[in-house]
Amino acid sequence: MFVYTREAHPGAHVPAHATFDDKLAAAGQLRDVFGISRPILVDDLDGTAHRAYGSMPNMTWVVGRGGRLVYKAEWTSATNVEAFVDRHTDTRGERTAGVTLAPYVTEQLEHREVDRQAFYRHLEQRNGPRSLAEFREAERIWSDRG
Amino acid sequence: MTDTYNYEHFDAYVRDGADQAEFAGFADHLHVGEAAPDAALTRLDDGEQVALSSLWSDSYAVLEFGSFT
Repeated sequence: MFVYTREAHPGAHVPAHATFDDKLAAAGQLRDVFGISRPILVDDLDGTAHRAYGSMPNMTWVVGRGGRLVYKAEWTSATNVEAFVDRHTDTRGERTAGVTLAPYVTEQLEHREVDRQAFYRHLEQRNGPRSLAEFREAERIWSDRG
Repeated sequence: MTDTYNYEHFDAYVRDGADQAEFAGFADHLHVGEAAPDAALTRLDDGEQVALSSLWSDSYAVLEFGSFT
């Protein structure tokens, strides 16, 4: 399930959504340009769902059957999410086999692949030079923060 | 809220420290073990309203949040 949020890097092609129709149209572009096959759900213009889950630009949450949160990730790594889901599903198999299990909470530091140069290229291609320039400016601000 | 949420310039959003506030808040905002927030979203395929809670009534749901950029 993909939840479409505000535009992380507004620009020439997809500016900040001004109306819900803008947001729907942009979500459609996302689906078509990236060829996303899983269902896309569009959040309301105010970002109600996005904010309820913590406002990160590309987070992944997994919700267990019945509505309990079982996985929380600040960023998305498909590999890591799949590995978690496989492990989670295995657990259910063990339970069926008569083994008693109890849940416990962990915190983990995970890594995702980052290709900054590719990100710059894609950002400029997708949303124009201004969106890239603004990202570069943000990098300077982050660097100044230390 | 819409104006603040749908920022027009990423650099201004960062200069204001809004990114820092949001990233810092994420760790404490919501935790595994808690109930997943429900919300009404619009399914892109057919424009129908979908309650998030309907997605996890029968099986687990993976929710990836994101945008074009």
